[in-house]
Amino acid sequence: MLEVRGLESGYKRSTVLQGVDLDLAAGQVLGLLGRNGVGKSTLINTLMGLVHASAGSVRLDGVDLTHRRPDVIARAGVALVPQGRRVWAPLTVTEHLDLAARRGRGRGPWDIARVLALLPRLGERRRHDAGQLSGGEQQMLAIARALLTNPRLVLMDEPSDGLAPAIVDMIGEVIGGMKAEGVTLVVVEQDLHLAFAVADEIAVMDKGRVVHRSPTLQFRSDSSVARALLGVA
Amino acid sequence: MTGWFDENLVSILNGFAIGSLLFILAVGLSIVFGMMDVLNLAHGAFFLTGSYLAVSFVAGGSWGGYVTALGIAALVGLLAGGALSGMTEPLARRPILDQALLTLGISLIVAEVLSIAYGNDVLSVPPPPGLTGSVSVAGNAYPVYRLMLIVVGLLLALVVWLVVEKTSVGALVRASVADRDMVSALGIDNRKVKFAVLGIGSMLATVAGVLAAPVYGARPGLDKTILILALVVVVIGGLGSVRGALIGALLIGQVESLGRALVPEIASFILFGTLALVLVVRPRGLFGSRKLAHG
Repeated sequence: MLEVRGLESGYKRSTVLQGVDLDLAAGQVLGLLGRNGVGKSTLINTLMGLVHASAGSVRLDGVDLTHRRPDVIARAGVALVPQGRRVWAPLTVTEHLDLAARRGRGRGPWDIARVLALLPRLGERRRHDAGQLSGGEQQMLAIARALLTNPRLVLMDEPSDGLAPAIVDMIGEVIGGMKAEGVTLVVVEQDLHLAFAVADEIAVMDKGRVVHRSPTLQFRSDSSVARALLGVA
Repeated sequence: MTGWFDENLVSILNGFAIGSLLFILAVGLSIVFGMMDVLNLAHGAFFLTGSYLAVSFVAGGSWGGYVTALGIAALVGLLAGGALSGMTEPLARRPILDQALLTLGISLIVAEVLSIAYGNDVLSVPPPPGLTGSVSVAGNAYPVYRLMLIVVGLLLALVVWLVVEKTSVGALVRASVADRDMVSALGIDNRKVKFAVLGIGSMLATVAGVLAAPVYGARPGLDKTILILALVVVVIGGLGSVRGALIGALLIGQVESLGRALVPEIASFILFGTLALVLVVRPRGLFGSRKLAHG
């Protein structure tokens, strides 16, 4: 469903992505790994339209999304769970859910009741401002916000970042629940344990390109790739 | 203390009148700046346009003229804000200063056109019938119209606060102030939000100009005086904060009014001294969540 060809992008003085090629089938969960600074977040933000692509193309089910505004890309069915959560601190949990649900209502299976069934903790915190929530709760809110737009593709950027191990396991279960509902996911992750638990396939980025890709089981059994590209044993 | 209060009651009431006007002006300025980094320096010119519209339509001092002036001012403000939103769009990815220069240019053009049309004299506007005299407030004679201005201003402030803090449209505006990229990632076009907020913010400015006309009249230079006061309110209150704009406006209203009454020779110093003091203690303003300058 997702076809990325020769994608280049970056910031004012530096090109970060140096020609990314990436394909993703519907319902697939791809774990995107790589050392710091190799362009994982830049790829996610370019796919969402938040960073401008200077070359290459992005297609979703054949529709060209290159150079589109983020709101157009979102309406085409892409949702973002960004690095650092980026919830709106002064808004309550309910306000987040209502705002997201208004756009996504009737476009797919996700409504507020269903999202709260997947993320029950949020239901107990509905009246709280997002700024008062714990890191894990904020992460769940960011996931809920993305799901309520009824996306076909969810881009998750480091969902485990800064969270306690028990919360990371819970996030893993939530991703499993999304996958069971048929959501296609790209999950950027530093936590290999989480990436291995949720991903069907692993892709590894280095120096602005996708340099390796293999099924998760195969990737786990061949530690030489992980050692060479990630610097881990 | 009671004696001091009685002696200065008129100044305090004047402070409330200025404060409620400043809130109506500053809230649009603050939300647009907090949300879209558009520093609208034409805001004062929109206010003055409203005042001159009052000059044109309220000439005989009739309610019909007054209401007509309010209606036309609202329409003009809405259209001007919408046009401004479109004009700043090509500059959206450029630094704040570029947009500020554009709105400064527009404000100079508007002020010059008004000066050509209405001349350089101070023009006064009579209050509508029934609001012309004075009433006794705790033994002090106080103009009825100013009392009404305080009431209308506080009512408008309440409406704006309710809309921004308690409605779903307000939630969208606050979300856009907090992180507009994440709003667009939900599929919402930021430009439409900016268009609406700039339109309504500018409408509040022109309407404030009409409301203020029977008190302050209309004259060249009033736009700059008002703009500077509104900017001080925005900076003190914090960018994008409705509560900040309200507290800042009431505070600056009193500082301005009491300062001019008690120590006229250093009134301006007190105004900007308050600004400096707030910035030293709280660089983000009293209720701001963001820094004033970034990058």
